[in-house]
Amino acid sequence: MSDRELPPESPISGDTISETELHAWIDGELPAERCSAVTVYLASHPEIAARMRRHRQQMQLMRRAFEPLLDRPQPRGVLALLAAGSRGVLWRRRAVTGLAAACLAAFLLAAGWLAHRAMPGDNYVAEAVTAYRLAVIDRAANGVWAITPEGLPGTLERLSRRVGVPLKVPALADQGFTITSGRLVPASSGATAAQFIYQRGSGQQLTIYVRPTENRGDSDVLVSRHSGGLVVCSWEDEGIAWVLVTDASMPDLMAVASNVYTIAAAD
Amino acid sequence: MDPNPTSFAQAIAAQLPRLRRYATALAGNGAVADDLVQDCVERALSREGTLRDASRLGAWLRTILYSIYISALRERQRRGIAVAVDELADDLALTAPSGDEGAVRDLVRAMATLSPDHRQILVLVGVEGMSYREVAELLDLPVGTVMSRLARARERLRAVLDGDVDQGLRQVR
Repeated sequence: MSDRELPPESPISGDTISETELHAWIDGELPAERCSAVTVYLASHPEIAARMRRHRQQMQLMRRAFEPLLDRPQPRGVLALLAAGSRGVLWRRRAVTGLAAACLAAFLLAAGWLAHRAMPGDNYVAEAVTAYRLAVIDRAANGVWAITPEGLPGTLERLSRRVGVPLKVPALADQGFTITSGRLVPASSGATAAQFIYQRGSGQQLTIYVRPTENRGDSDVLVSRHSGGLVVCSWEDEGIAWVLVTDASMPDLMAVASNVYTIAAAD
Repeated sequence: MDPNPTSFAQAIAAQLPRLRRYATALAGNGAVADDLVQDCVERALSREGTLRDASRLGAWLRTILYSIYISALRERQRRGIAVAVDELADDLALTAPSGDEGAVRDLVRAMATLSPDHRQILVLVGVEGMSYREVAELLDLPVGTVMSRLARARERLRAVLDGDVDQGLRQVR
């Protein structure tokens, strides 16, 4: 490193420290052998050092400002589109019957998501999170049915009668989950909810909580974070509330949500 | 940790939260961003075959989204329609950590004054936290070009925020 003092007004030129090197230094992308040269240079150029501090603050602010968007509701139109897209031929048939257009219209209506952010009056999200926590604590509680992927269709038929709505949940093998059990849970509204419990080899758990709701309409697909690193995705569809709760990542949750939505929406 | 979802649609769904954040930061408007994501997903579904490397799905989606964004922007400019940024500025200020509210509002407005390619590179590095190499691959540019564009974009943003150029921000307050 040079101990030659650079005059403060010296332009940043290629043979000293370049502007791009300073930015690489901000981003931690400067080769280690150049870092001390930058430190020395900034020490003798307080104005440039101040400007670089501003750059760094502004980039950190940008990260913080947009971070909360990751937890915002996803317009159901996109999930509907993905559900349709993953069913190939059906997608084209639906396009012909105009259902896809209906999905798009619903999306356009929902696009003003500020107006649609309100949580549903019904507290099924809180119920589902509590039920998730209980399922983690007490895997052998009363009323828990062991379910194998092969036995899933039969169980669904039985539980559908008890809950009063047609239950269609996928095996989730694509996402690395295995269904292990299911049970009925009393819901606050006096309704009965079904909870399906899935495990993954890495120790993560996921539950699908389904129950009837008073609301006959459709809602946005809401996502939220809860204590203990839980992420939750929920929506209402024609009188049925769906709540997915897991300690896996948000992207994993969205992939599962797309899968569940697709199965549930299949005719 | 990350099982590969066999379904293309589910792999896209896993990208949605970040794709939507990218679109919102680019467009400066939530409703415009949602349209972009919708169009992007639709186009992606119809072009699955053009994705050569499944591990680059995120970059591929961002490339599609940006090209839709640029044509939509041109169309809006041609028709003289401005994108309203205040709604997003106020919205993000609401979810900002306390003490950041004013700065977040100013930041969102300032970003809207930048050129789209400056905004894009700031979002890729600043919001998405991508490395220079990843950005270079995504934009199909040499790393040196990425670095100089980033330096110019940051300096522009700082100048707007610090009032070194007159962008009318002061009058807005």
